[in-house]
Amino acid sequence: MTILLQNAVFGLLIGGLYGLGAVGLSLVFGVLAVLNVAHGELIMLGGYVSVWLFTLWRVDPFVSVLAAGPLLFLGGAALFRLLFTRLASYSEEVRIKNSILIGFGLALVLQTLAILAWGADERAVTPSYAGRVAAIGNVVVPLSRLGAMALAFLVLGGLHLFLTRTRAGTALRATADDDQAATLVGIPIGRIYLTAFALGSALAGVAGALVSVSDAISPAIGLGWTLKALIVIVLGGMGNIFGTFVAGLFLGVAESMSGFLLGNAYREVVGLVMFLIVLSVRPRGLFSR
Amino acid sequence: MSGDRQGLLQLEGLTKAFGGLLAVSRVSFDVAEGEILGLLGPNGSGKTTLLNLVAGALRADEGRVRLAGRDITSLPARTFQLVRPLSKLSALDNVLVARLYGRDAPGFTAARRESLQLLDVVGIRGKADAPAAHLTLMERKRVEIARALATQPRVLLLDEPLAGLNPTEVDAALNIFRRIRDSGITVVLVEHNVRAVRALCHRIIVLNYGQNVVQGAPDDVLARPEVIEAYLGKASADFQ
Repeated sequence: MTILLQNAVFGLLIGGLYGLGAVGLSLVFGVLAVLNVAHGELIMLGGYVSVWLFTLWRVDPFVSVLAAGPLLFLGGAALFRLLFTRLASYSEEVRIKNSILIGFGLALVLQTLAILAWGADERAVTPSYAGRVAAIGNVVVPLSRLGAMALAFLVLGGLHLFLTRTRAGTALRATADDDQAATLVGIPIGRIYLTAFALGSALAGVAGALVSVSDAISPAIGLGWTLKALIVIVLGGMGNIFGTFVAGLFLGVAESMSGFLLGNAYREVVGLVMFLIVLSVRPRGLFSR
Repeated sequence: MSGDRQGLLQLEGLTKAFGGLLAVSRVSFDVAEGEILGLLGPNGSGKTTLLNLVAGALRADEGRVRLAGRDITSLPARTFQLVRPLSKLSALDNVLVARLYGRDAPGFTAARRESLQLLDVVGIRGKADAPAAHLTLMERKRVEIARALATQPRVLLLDEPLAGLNPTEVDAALNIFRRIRDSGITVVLVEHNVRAVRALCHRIIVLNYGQNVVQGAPDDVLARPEVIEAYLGKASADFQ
C-alpha cells in the first residue's frame, strides 16, 4: 500500500510538469491552429538555460525560470516571424499540416544545434537541496520536485489570470474561438498570433527550467516531451488550462502506477494507449464540457 | 428640420445601380447628432443598399457620404451588417472584447464594468457568464446590440433589428432601444415594424424605387397619402 501511495506521489509530481509542458502547446494550437511539434525542443532549450546558469554562476534552477521564460519568449517570437507567419493566411487544415512539417524540421535543427553546442551527454543541475525529502508517514516527497510542481501550478494560475483579466488575454481567447469574428471586432490578430506563439514558447522555457530541477537535460529529450504534451492535450481537451493540468497529473500517476504494477517497460505504453482510447471514444477530451 | 444644424452624417446624391436596376437614386439627407432616424419603405426600395453604402460595404456610383464633415465615401467598410458572435466566449466577454478594441477603449477593469452595464441595458446581465452558443435568438440579439454599443460608434446603423421577434419580444426590444435613444447615440434604423418606428424615431424618411419620397416627424409622414400609396398601392391611398 505504501509503495502504491509512493508511486502515486511521484506520478503527481512529474504530472504537474506534464501539464505545464502541454499548456504552451495547447495555447499555440488553440489560437493559431499551428501544431508546433518542436515544442519539446523548446522545453529542452529551457532546460539548457537553467543548466548553463547553474554551471556558470551557480544560479538556482528555480531562479533560472525567470530567465528561461523571457528568453524563450523572445526566441519564440523570432521563430514565429521566421517560420510560421506566412502560414497565417492559409485555411486551418493547410495550416495544421504545414505547421507539423515545419515543426519536425525545426525540431531536427534544434536538436542538432544543441548537440553541436553542448554535446550529446546528459547534463544535470545539482543544487544543495537536490536529494532532500520530506517524509509524510511512510511516504517520501522529494522537495525539489514538490517545489517544481508548486511553481508549475502558480504559473498556470498566472496564465489563467492573464487570459481572463487582461486585454491581450481576452483577445487571445477571442482569436482562439473564431479568428474572423475577432478581426471584425478590431483585434489585430497578426499581433495576437505572435503573442500566443511567444507565450507558448515561454511556457515551454519555464517547463524546461523546472524539469532541470530534478531531471537531467540532453538534446534528445524533446520528442518525449512533445509526445507527452500531445497525450495530455487529448486527455484534457483543447483550450482548458486546468483540464490540461489535471490531465497532466492523471498521466503522471497512470505512468508511474503502471510502471510499478506492469514493469517499467510499460510506463510509456500506458500513456499512448490512453491517447488512442480517448481519441476513439471521446475525442473532445476527458475534461471538456 | 435638419437644415438649421450641421448633420453628423451627411448623404449627398448617393446613387447605386446593379446592372440596369437603379437601387438607390440621388438620395440626400442629413442625420443630426443624437438623432434616431428611421428608414422606411417597401421591399426592394433600396433601404438595405443605402445602409450598405453608408457603411462602406458597397461603393457608391455617385454621391458622397460625410461623417462629421469628413468625406468617408471611399473608405473601407466601417461596420459589418452581420455581427458574428464569438460562440465559445461568454456574453460578457463578447461585449468586453468589443469594448477593449473599440473607440476610446478604457483599461481592462473599467471596460469590464462598462460591459456589465451594457449587458444591464440590454437586459441580460443575468446571463453574463453563459457562452454565446447557449443563448436563445433573442438573447443573442441583445448581446449583438450590446457589442455594437460597446465599440462606441459615432453612428449606429441597424438593419431590421426586430425581424424574427414575436410581439412580446418586440416590446422588450423597444425598451432596450428607448434606453439606447436616451443615451444620446445617433442611430439610423431600417425597420418594417411601423409601431416600433413610431415609438422610437425622431424623424423618418420613406424610400420608394430608390428615391427619397418624403421625410418628417413619424406621425406626419405615416399619414401622408404618398406613403400609404408606396406601402399599400394607389387604390388604398384614394380610398383614404
